[in-house]
Amino acid sequence: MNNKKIETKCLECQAQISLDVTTQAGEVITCPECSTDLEVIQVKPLKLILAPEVQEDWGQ
Amino acid sequence: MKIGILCSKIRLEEKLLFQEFSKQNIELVQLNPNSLSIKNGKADFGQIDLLLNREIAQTRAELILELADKAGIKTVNSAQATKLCNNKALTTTFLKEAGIPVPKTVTAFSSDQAMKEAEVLGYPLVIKPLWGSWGRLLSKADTPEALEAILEHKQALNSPHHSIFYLQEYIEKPDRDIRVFVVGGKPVAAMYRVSKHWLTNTAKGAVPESMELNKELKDLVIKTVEVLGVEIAGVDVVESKNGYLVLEANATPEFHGLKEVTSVNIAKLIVEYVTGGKNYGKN
Repeated sequence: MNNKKIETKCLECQAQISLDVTTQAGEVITCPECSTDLEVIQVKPLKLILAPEVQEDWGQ
Repeated sequence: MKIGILCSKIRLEEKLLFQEFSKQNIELVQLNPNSLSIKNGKADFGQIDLLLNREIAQTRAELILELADKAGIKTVNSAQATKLCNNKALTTTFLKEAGIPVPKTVTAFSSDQAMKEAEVLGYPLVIKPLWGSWGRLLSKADTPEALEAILEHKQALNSPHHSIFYLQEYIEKPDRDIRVFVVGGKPVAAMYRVSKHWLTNTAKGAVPESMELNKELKDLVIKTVEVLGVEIAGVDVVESKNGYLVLEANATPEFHGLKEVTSVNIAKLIVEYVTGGKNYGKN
């Protein structure tokens, strides 16, 4: 088990966020402090954006 | 064998699928619609044997599945099945025609026609968007006055989708509905979704509870997925006073809620099914 973390900061509140090294592009993470949803758009190097709002045709 | 998985968002379901493909040493490539283009009449899917759709955005997923079908790539689910499941009016029409019990439903193309049809359908009734999931933008109208206001608001959204009105009788149910998960056309697990609210989507706070599939429910779901041509699905069923009614089938079903209440490894079954594992369905 790899317990290494990737450290980054919330784009909204600058809180420290630790991501698992297995994090993949496309994952949506939630800031533990301000609850903002952030989308990982690139892993190396790590790039986050504010996750888009749910679109009208999103579904299962 | 090389599998392509179509997805732009990695949810728990996709993570579990990635893990299962890896465990079974199946070569997997993620195809993100955001990186795909159609050029010179075709999209470049690379060398894949099968495309598994897990894309959250249904419009682009349907188009990409059509193109993959056209390119001769096996798709799960197929473009046609996905289209039938994504559009509630098509789903209920096909199911009703096949004799599968569904709630009384009307699709109207103007608010005037919707108001007329509602008088026949009776109140209370439910207004659903033709597309979409998770119980979003569903409304319950107890009176003509309430329906009139809802229709006006829908039209004010100024979207072609919201100017087609899908009206359905309101079904009294026992504070729950049923989600049956299907892999390879077979029901493999089910759960109750329990809520005091009339919307029993887990996305709206309904709580998953374990349940055993009975023969009647299994047979109903098998027939449902056969009619829609869908291989992997989440079929929603409601228990009415007259028996089971099928509400809809989801072609890219989530299973994080179901995972909490079943010992069935859904991701493993999906991987076994799409890779044609000889042991699929024998467990």
